[in-house]
Amino acid sequence: MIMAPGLRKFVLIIHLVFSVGWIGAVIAYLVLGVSAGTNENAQTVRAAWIAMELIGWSAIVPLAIGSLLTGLVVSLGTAWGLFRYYWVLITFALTTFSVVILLLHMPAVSSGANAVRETTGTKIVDRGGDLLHPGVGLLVLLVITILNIYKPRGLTPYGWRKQREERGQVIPRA
Amino acid sequence: MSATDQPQPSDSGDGPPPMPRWVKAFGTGVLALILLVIMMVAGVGGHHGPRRHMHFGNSGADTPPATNAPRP
Repeated sequence: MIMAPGLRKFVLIIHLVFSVGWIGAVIAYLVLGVSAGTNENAQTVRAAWIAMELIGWSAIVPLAIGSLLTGLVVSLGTAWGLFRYYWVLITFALTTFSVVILLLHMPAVSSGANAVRETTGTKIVDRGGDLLHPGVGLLVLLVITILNIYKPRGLTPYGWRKQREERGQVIPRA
Repeated sequence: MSATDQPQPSDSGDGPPPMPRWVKAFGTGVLALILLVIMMVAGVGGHHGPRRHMHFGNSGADTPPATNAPRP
């Protein structure tokens, strides 16, 4: 079902707010993760881990799920569709992958935050930070952003078939 | 997934259009990354599995002290 232009723009605004917010929250998390990994001050490392857990569960997870869901609505409610164009399909796959990895990783962040709450002294500094997941996650989000801005050409076979059907053309059988 | 512009209809012939080169290049890159991750999980090239990154920099926190350290 194709959305009316007004509704499409409204949903698109919500989707962009979720998506841009997700990138911003990951950057904030990455700063804390690097700080926890490089700082020698136990209080700073403890504060960073607690803030990472808060940002993760309270900002990154809701924004990521919101971005995925509103992205589905935007694609299915416009002529782009979800499976018609390679760039939409790849964006959907990368977003789903990122959300799954995020949900699998967050319990480890919580256990890290709980550990620094219960630990004292230099052992807190030994815990280090969290660089790999937010770093790779940010790269994936940037790739998704580039795909969404450039929208590179390329119809999938399904998209080509649907386009022909909508034009009322006969599709040759293979 | 921002669909700000409307898609343009393609003028392909009788058959579906071939897969674009950028999709092939992207797929090759993703496959290479998956292979790299599988190698890391399998332990090729050292202990670089995902467990290592769960608590980044945690190595050594629970390491017992060396027994052959010089005594004061």
